Order: sequence, then structure tokens, then C-alpha cells
Amino acid sequence: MGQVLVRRVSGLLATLAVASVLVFALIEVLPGDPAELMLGTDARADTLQALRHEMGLDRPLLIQYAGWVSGMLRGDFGTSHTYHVPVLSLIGERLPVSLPLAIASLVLAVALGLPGGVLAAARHQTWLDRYLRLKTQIVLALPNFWLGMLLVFIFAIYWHWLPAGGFPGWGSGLAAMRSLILPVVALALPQAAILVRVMRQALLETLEDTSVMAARARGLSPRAALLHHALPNALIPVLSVMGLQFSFLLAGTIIIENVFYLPGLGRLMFQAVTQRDLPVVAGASMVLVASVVAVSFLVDLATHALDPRLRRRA
Amino acid sequence: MALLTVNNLSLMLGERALLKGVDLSLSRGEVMGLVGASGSGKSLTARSILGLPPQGAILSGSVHLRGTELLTLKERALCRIRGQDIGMVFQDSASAFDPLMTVGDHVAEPLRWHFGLGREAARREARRALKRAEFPAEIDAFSRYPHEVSGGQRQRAMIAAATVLSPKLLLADEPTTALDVTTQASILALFRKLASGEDMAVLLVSHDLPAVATIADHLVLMDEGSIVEKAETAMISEQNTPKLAALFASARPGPSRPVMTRGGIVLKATGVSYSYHGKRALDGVSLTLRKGECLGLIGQSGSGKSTLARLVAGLANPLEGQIGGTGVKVRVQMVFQDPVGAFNPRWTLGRSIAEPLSPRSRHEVERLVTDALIEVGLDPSFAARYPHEISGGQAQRAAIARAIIAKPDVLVLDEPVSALDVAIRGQILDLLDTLKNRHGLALFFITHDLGVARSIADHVIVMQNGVVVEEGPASDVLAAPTHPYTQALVAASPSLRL
Amino acid sequence: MSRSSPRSVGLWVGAGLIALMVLMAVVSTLPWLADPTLIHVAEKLRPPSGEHWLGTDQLGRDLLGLTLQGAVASLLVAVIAVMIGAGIGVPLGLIAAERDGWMSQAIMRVNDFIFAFPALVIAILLHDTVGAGMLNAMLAIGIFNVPVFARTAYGKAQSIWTLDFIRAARLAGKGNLRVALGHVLPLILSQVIVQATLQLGMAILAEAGLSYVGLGVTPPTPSWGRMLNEAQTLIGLAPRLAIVPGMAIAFAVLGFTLLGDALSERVDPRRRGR
Repeated sequence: MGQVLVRRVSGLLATLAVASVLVFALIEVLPGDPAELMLGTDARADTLQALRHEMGLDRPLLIQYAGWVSGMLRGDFGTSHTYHVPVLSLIGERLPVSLPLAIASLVLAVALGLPGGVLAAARHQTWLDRYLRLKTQIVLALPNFWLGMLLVFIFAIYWHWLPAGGFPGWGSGLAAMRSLILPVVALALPQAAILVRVMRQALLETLEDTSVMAARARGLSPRAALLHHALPNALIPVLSVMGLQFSFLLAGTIIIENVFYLPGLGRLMFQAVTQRDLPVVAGASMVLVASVVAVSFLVDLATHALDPRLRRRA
Repeated sequence: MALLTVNNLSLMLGERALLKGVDLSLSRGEVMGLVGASGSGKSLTARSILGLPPQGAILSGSVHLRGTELLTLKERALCRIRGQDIGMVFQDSASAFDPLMTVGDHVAEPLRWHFGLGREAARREARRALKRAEFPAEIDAFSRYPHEVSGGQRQRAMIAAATVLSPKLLLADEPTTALDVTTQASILALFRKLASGEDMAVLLVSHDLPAVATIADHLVLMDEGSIVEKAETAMISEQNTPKLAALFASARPGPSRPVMTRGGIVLKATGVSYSYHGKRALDGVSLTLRKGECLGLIGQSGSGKSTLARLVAGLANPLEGQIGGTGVKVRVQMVFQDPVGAFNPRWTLGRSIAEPLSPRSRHEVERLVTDALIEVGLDPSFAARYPHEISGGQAQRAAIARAIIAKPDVLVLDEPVSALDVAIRGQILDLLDTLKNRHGLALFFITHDLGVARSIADHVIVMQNGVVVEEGPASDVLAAPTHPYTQALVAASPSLRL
Repeated sequence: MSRSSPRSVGLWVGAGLIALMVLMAVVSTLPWLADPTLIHVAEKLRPPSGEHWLGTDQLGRDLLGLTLQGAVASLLVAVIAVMIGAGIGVPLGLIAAERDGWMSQAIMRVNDFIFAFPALVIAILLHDTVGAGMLNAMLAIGIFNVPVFARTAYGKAQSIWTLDFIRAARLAGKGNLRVALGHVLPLILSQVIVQATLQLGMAILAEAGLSYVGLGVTPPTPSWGRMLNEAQTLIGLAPRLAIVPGMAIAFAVLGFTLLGDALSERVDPRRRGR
């Protein structure tokens, strides 16, 4: 286990390092001159020079990169060009919206998707299985932002049950929760549909294993064989799919925040992209990539803990 | 009175009748061997008795277990009978275990499920069953997962799990097929002991007649879903049971081959070593292949024999040592164990057989393919067929055609007959012998079956854990082995004794 | 299983929806149709009528014409993105499957690495270099698709490379390239096609998302995602502006996933009846 841990952690760090180079290369280096962008093309040459010096743009690229990375390691993600406040504090303000949104969606997706998948596999080739199959296929085809708009139209504009958008802040308690209900549903439904399909497929495959037949030969009922033997084995591949889903969920969060005017990381990123606030784009991208990598790391560890074949081979 | 009576048992799957009126009867303390080729319905019979036929199968007839009709029983009642009154042991013990559960907990599971025993009480009882199944006492079954014990140990654990509730009837589906011969013999002995000592009735399903015959009281031969012959093992003879007797005869090796004057050396390997994932697979192996001679390599699974085959064929390079021909470039071709997997499923056999040919006109390619097919005893029309359309024996003939079409000097044969039914084996071995003599081929024949080795090999080498432990003329080595490992192999080979 | 099973229904419905989408794209390019991108502010937000079958949007543009033309951008981006993904991913997967060593490790590592970037993040990062527009969407979705195809090819090819007929082909004197092209690629091709069909649906979805947030197709080129963005504030006033392009996306995606699913069952007999 120790060896595996060391290998995985070094893999994790290497991924983050490569990601930082990529983000730096794409954002800080390739496009035109950020100083000129801030001041406009008619700025005086000496003002431009002064700003470039202040921003460190006149230093060699390697030094700039080193400065950026070491800054991030110290918790300094640079300063936003538009808000003139540290990027980290901007991100810090937005995470309490984005993170609960992503986590609640994942929880809802799992709560709907796993039982749905198990049910479909257990009732394989019955009307219930076919119904779930069709239903998930349709939900999968819906863009989540359109789903969000439809939910707004029905539940906010037509019935006035829930707010159409905006976020009153966690201080407002129930109102804050209410404003997250529709976004969470819009994000979770397509993910739940994926989980139903993946869970069903994995379970149908393990149900065909000789080990399940052997369990039945020992006298276990079909239901017990499914729950005690097929399900635990099917959950292992499903777990890694769930890890991958988190990455899609984060991307979905960015879009859904735009639908519901939620002041989260996604909104921040888009404002930064349109205003070319590059330190914010770079910082937020790194946070997103880091969280995706961290989740896949956790999934890896969980898989190792669950599967004895992986546990001891190291 | 018989414990188990099967009357007119039939099984339909869709349009096909897979079992056609099977009748059996079995008493306690008896071992019955149910033998037949693959697809003869012997495994289906066992599964049907247990009430676990394939999905969509329709059963008819009757299965009585001490007066209870099983076929019409409700699923709930059947669940009570499975494990308690009938136990079952499966062939591939690796996949028959839940990889996430320890070996010991598999044995404890029926106790907890049927009797609601607590964890500790179940484990205590399970230990007793493990001991009865001769699972090694020094291994803690409750901390080992299935992949952490050997195949033989897994099979003992599976027998323990099947017998932990002392069922009256034990079904075993090819329980020793995946094991090497020495383990096979001791597992078979265990079944005999359970039948006699625990007064169980044992139904042993197997394709290996000589092995089963060593312990069975009765033998039943199945073919295409029907029983063709049954007899007490002692009563088998040409007059009473011609088919069973013929099977025995074809499994029995022919007379040992006389040692001939030896041909010139075609290929030589000296001091060959190879590692696989950091594990030594071969260690200082040397061998010599001669023109017109068959060198048999005998070894159990994991002995490194397939690795050596690939090295000799030139598909991989040795870490140390040398493999090479004498002077001119030696052409080596290979024939594999699984005849169907040896062909691209999307290619016609003709296209596959022509693959080793250097570029030439279409007409000439067709002629050569036809010649090769005729030479291996297949009709030239086989060139247009696809691999899934032909039988295993025909596919192996086609594989041989592909191997000889480019006129090789050496033919490497990696277990070429072990996937084939016994009746076909002899024909393929005869074909190889003919080709060897006609073309002066050097054969390198790899097998785990000593009987097969004796009937085709001129010389043999015996390998254990990547090291050659004995070598010499086949007749000498197999008749009077000197190394303890070879002696154990010979002693455990029923086909050699008969 | 008879021909009229639910599965072949999926096949035909899927193929029909895709044909409809292609037809929409073709019809929209017919020269004698009025250009739907022209703005007539005086005619804004007209309800459906004989002249404008689906009414007009907030700028007086014909909703039907815009929706038809949206199919062009959607198909173009999806097809090119999937071609990028398959064109790079499949060879990578084939190479990685053949070598059992550092090369295979390296390729699959890079693959996992790209997988850590959702298409949206790639689009944001590329946005500064490429700028918003169709190209950005194609590249972002294409790059995202590379590891998807590499994994499919790798997974299927790996088991094929160890089969005996590959060994036989080597003994017949064939090199890696000829074995890969002659034996391995044809055997995984059907799976690649199935994957491509499914990914086309996913790419349409991704394109809509990118255009919706302004990273994909930009005005005046009509795009369904963009139309939804513009319709959002008007949803209480004119819900059809949001419903029509949304349905277009949903049916297009459904077409590809239905077809992909039905094909995958034909290709993989073990999944039949699943």
C-alpha cells in the first residue's frame, strides 16, 4: 500500500506540474501583451513599459513561470487585473457556491443512478428495464443548460415555486438552499442517467460470472447473490466512472452557473475570459484541473482499498 | 434405493434440444463418472439437476432427490436444497470465487446463509470442512483472497464450500481440468474419500475418461445430449461397451517409438534464460532439434514451456544464451493450442493459410493453398470457409496447413492437441508424424500430457520451473524415469498406466 | 430476436433523426431561401404565421431559418471534432497496445492527463490563442475526444495483439505496421465506428454548451447553443425561442446515441439482448 501511495502521489504531482506548464503556456505567453490589453493600444510607451515591469512581463519566461508556480505554492495566485484583488481571495469567495453545487449534484446523481441501475439489471428485459433505458437515453440527449432553462420556466416563471436565479448568500439559510435546488437537479439528471446505464451494464456483466452461479449453487437466492457477490464487484468499475464524472460535473457547473446567475467559479471564469483577466483565468483553471486530478486520485485509492487483487500486488 | 433418479430429462434452449431424455440413478457412497466430448450435454445435465440451467432453457422429465421432485419445485425451496442437499464444484476455480471475499468466507457462507450462524461460529465450522477437504492447515483461509492461493488449494476450498453442510449429493463439473496432473490425482482421490467416508453420492463430470475411471464406480458416456453407454467401470469391454472401450483405446498411447538413427542438427539452443515481469521463467535451457525427429517438451502449466516455444519460434529473444540454426537461415513455423484463436475471424481460411507465402501470382497462391489443404486431409473447398464455420479438429488441420505451406525446417507445436476431443487427437498426431517423415521436418512438440508425448516424441525433455530436469529417448524416460519430478508425473498419469 | 425488436426500432429511429438533421442542414443552404441572419427589428418577436412558420426572434430573424442553419454549424463542428479525436486517438491506442513497455505507459499517461481537462476548460484555455469561433469549438472538442478514442482502440487492440493469429502473422514475416493494418485495425474498426457515432452526439452537446457560453460559434453564424443563450432572458415572454433550438439539439443527440447503441449491440454479440 505504501509503495502504491508513493507512486500515485508522485503521479499526481507530475500531472499538476505538466498542467501548470500548459496553462502557463496557453494563457500567459501565447496571446498578445496583457499590459497593452489593459491600457489599450493608444497607451504611451513609457507607461506601458512601467506596467510591464510592474507585472513582471519583461522578465525571461522561465523566471515568470517559476514566479507564478512558487507564488501558487505559497498561496499567491497573483492579482486580478480587473478587480485589483488577489486571485485567491476571488476564488475563495466563489468556491462556497460552486463546491456545494458540484457535491450536491454528485450525491443526487448517485442516489438516483445507482439504485436505478441495480433495478434495471435485476429486472433485466422487463418493461421496467426498457422504460429506464428509454428514459435515460432521452435525458442524456438534453443539454443540461437547456434543462435548467426549462426547469426555470416551469418552476420559477410558471409556478413561482422556486427562484429563477441568483444566490442570496449562505447567510440567508433556507433561501440559499432553495436557490440551489434547480441548478442541482439540472446538473444531476444527465449524470444520473449515465450512472444508471453504467451500473446496469456492469451488473449485467458480473451477474454472468461463474462466481455468481457458484454462489447460487451454495443456495443463495437470486437477490442475495446479486447483492452480496455481483454488486460489490460491479461497483469497482462504476466507481472509476464516477471519478470521471466529477470532471464533467465541474465543467457542467461552469455552464449551469451562467443559466442561474450564480456567483460561482464558473461565472468568475467567464467574466475573466471576456475581460481577458488572465491571472484569474489561469488561477481558476488550475483550481479546476487540480480538483479533477485530486478526485481521480481519491478514486484510485478507494479502488485499491476495495479490490484485494490490487491491494496486495504492490 | 437410489438417492438421485433422473428420468427422461430433456432441455430445450430456443429451437435446439440440448438434452434428449437423460436417465441416471445414483446411490450414496457411489461415484459416477459422466463423460463425453465438449458440447455433449454432460455439464448441462449437472446444472439441470441443480436447477440452474442457462437462461431461457426449458426442462422436462423428472429429477428425484430421495423422493422429492426437483424440477417442479419453487425457486425458494430449491435455494434450501442447493448447498444443503446438493453441493456443486465448478471447473475454473479462479473465476468461480468472488475475488473480493476471502477463500475461507466462501466456505462459511452456506452456514451463515442456511443456518444463520454468526461469523465466528460459521468460521469454526468452516475450518472443519476445510480440513476435511485437505486444505493446508498452515494457510489461514480467512485472510487469503482467491488470487493468493494456488489452483489446487482453491479447488480444495471449493470442495469444502460445497460439502460444508454435508450434502447427500455432490456434483463436480470438470473439477480437475485446470490443474496439473499431480494435483489432479490427489483431488480425484479426495472425491473418492468423500463418497466412501462421508457416504455422499458424487457425480463427476469430465472429458478425461482415463482420469475419471481411476475413482468412478460407474461410467456414463454422453453424446449430443443423449446417454449412449453406461456400465460399471470394471465391466467395460469391447463387447459390452464398444464406445467407452474405444475411448480408452484412443486415450492409450501407441507403442513406444523405436530409437532411429538421428538426423542432422537443424536448430540448437544453448544456455537460454528468460525473465518475465522480473520472474525467472527459463534458466539455462539447452536443446537440439534434428531433421526428421520429434523432440517432446514435457512440463506442467507455469513450467516455462510456452515461453520456450516462443523463443524457439523467434517471437521473442532470450535474455541470455543462444538460439540459432546451423549455417543457413532456419525457417520456423508454429501451431498453437487453441485452433480457433489461431485464425483471424474475419479472414477466410485460404487467406490465412496463404499468409506466410512470399508475394506471387494469385493462381500460384491458390494452387499452393489447395496442395496444403489436401496434404493435411482437408477438402480444397475449405479455403473459402471462415474459422467459426469449422470444427476444432478441422481448424487444427488448417493451422498445420498454414505452418507447412512455406516449407519450414522446424515446426513448433504448442499443446496442439490438448484443446481437441480425445477421438480427434490421434488423427492429428498421425498427420504430424506423416508430415515429419515426408518432409524431414524437425518437430518441437510441447505438451503436458505424457501419453501424447510417448506416442509422438522420439526424444523428450522434462521441464520444471524453467529448468530441464531430465532428458533422453522418449521410451527410456517415460518407462524408467530417474528424476523424482518425472517419476511423480508418470505415477499421476492415468493414460500411461492403462 | 426478431427484426422488429426494440433494438432495431432504436436503429431506425436514430438513423431517421440523423437523416432529418442532415436534411435540415442541406435545405438551409438552398440559395433561394431568404437569409435568416438578416435583422428586421420592426418584425421582432412575431408569433408563428404563414410567413414565419415558427415566428421571429428578438431581432426579427426567422426562427425556422435560424434553426435549419444551426444544423450546419452543429454538424460541421461535431464531425470535424470527432475526426480529430479518432484520427489522433486510434493510431495512438494501436501503438500503445502493441508495445508492452514505457511507450505504452507514456501514451496512456498523456491520455489520462488530457482526460483531466473537460472540453470546456480546453476551450477556455484555447480561447486566448484561437479566439472564439467554430475553430475553437472544433479544436477543444477534438482534443477532448483524443483520449476517448485512444482508450477504445487500446482496450480492444490490446487483447487482439496477444492472440495466436497475430503470432502466426509475425511468423509469416509481417512487421508491426502490416500486422496493425492488416489484422488489428479491421477487427477494432467496428468498435471505433460505434464510438464515433456516440461521440458525434456528445460533440453536438458540447458544441451547444460552448456556443451557449460564447466560446463556440459566434454571431452572425446561427447556432443552437447561441440561440438558447439569446432566448434565455426572453423565456417568460417567448418560450418557443428556447424550446425550438433545445428540441433540435435533443433530437440530434438522441439520433446519434440511439444509432450508436443499436450498432454497438450488432457489433458486440455479447451485448445483444442487454
